[in-house]
Amino acid sequence: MFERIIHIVRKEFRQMFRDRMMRFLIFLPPIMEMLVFGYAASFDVNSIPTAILDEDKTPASRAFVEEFSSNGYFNFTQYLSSPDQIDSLFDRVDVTVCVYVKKGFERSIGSGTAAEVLIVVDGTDSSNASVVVGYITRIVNSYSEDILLERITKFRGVNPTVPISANRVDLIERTWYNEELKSRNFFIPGIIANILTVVGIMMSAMSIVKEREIGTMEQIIVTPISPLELIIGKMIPLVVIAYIDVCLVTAIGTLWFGVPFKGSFIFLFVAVAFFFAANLSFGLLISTVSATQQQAMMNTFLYTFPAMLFSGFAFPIESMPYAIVLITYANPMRYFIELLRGIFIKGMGPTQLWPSLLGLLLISIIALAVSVARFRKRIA
Amino acid sequence: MNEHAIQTKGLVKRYEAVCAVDGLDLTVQRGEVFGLIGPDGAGKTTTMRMLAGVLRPDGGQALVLGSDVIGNPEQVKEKIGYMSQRFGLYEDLTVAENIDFYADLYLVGRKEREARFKRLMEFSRLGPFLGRLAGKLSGGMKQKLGLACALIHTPDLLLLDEPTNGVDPVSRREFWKILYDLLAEGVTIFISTPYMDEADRCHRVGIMEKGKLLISDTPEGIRKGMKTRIIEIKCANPKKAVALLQKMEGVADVVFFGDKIHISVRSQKPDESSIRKFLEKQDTEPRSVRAITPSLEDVFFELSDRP
Repeated sequence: MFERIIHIVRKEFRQMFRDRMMRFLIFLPPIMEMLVFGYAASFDVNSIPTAILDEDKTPASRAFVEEFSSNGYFNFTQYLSSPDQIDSLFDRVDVTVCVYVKKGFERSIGSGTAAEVLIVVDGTDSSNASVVVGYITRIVNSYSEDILLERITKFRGVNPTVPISANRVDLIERTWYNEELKSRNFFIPGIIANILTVVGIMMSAMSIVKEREIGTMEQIIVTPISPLELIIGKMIPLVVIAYIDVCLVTAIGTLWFGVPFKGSFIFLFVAVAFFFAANLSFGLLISTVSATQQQAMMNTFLYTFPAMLFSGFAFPIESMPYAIVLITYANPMRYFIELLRGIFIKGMGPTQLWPSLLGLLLISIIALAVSVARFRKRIA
Repeated sequence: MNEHAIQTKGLVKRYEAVCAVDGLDLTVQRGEVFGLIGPDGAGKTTTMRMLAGVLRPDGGQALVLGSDVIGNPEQVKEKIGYMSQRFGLYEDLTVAENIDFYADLYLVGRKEREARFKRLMEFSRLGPFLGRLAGKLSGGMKQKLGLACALIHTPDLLLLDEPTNGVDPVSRREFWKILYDLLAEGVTIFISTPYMDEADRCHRVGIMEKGKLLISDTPEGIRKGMKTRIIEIKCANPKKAVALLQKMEGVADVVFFGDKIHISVRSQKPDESSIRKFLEKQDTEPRSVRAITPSLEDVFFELSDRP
């Protein structure tokens, strides 16, 4: 039994490395995804194009505007002279934010009444806009607080360097695990899940369907090799590729992009084995419902898109409707994303993450049972 | 223990509403070339696949080399070689790699493999192309490579499903020469073909239609048992003669054969002289009217009761 498996493995590798497209598929997607998620795709908001309209033109208004430029998130690209210009700017999507300081700003502050500032934010991209509004609120609040403190000290005649405790609640923010809230750290471990889905499902389904399509499957069936030996032989090379890709992504992610890796490599490899087993079972299942390689590819995408959306890779599962949350429990990628983030960012081990492993194990067993039953029927 | 290479009793395979093989009783002796002939859709491929153990029958029995292929297909796999209609070669592997791969799957030992390889190269003459990718071979060569792959483990029985389909006449002749060489080595060959002319190269043939075996005998035996007589006519005005003959009583079929006319007569009644007289009367100037040996194609048309 062992001998025949080795012969299949050797043949698979031989074909794989002769096929330029295949060589491409092994190394290109991990590197491409790393570049995309490492550099381009990000939830981080900075260099926000901003327009300034200062009608007051006083030291106080200039100091207020200065607050925006000094924190580094806002990029002043336009200086306006009239409020009429605002509409066309937003229509042309030249800016995301416009800070409009009205005449009488300094006077209002000096007289102790409320000064008015209009801030316009482009809400087309809602998540982006809410982050921007958050930044603005913080800037405006701290500016107001400074003015307030100045007044209090003036009234009490206390030295302003001595901290005074006004009646207020102090908020001390401290984010754990991903202190700088970098979306890179959130995305890059997830790339491993994406790559393993492509390698595990598409390549395994296609390698089986290909044999059927070109007619070699029938020739193999008449030889004394058993379907199990054939499948194992075909899967081993994919497992090797999977681990190469895992190492590749982990190395680039940690060494180049500085993503933290706090957990254990051995546990990562164990988790990969569980997830990959589920993927290979799904690939096998797809091979039993696809007549051609093209169909196999289409079916893989049909599975991959929802699997990715409902995995927590980009959108948090907690904010999904309950019905969808239930569906995610059948999605192996969901568990693997949990495992990856747990291992990379939080340094968790099997004691905390065993429920995810169990989820993957159950899915693999069910998928494997169904696909083996279907595979047998298909051959017979 | 059993002198038959293949023996089936009441073999049945259904595809939904269609009965592809409908109670097939077939016997193939060891050491013969048995040809299964019939039109497309007759059930030849389905029969072949069931005998190779690829397809599971819905009913009946099938003994291949004495063992039951339905109950225990694994037992005979080592002893049969099968070449499907479209033999699947790995086009991205070379000729040598393809042969080696099949040798690997059959676990052919090194020494045996070398000897067998040499012998296969002799009669397939693939030697000069060993390093070439299988995808870059011509149609006839691919066919020979497929045969070499199916023969690497020295099977006792070779199942060939329409191996010469779409192969040019020269390669076809070479292919048959190889088959006779194999026969001399003691291999039993079970071959299917839609070409009736190839049936004459077989020891025995079975004519199949609509899932049933119409007859199974030697080519001569089949011809002898035929009631139809084929009469060949040459005349000066063939177009007119054909129109007339089609209306003549007792004539089953009239076809052009180049400048000649072949008519099938299914009884003794219109004989050569009465046909000649009939045509002379109608001014078609018959030059010769004579009975000829029926081809297997004619036999097929008689048996399947087609016009």
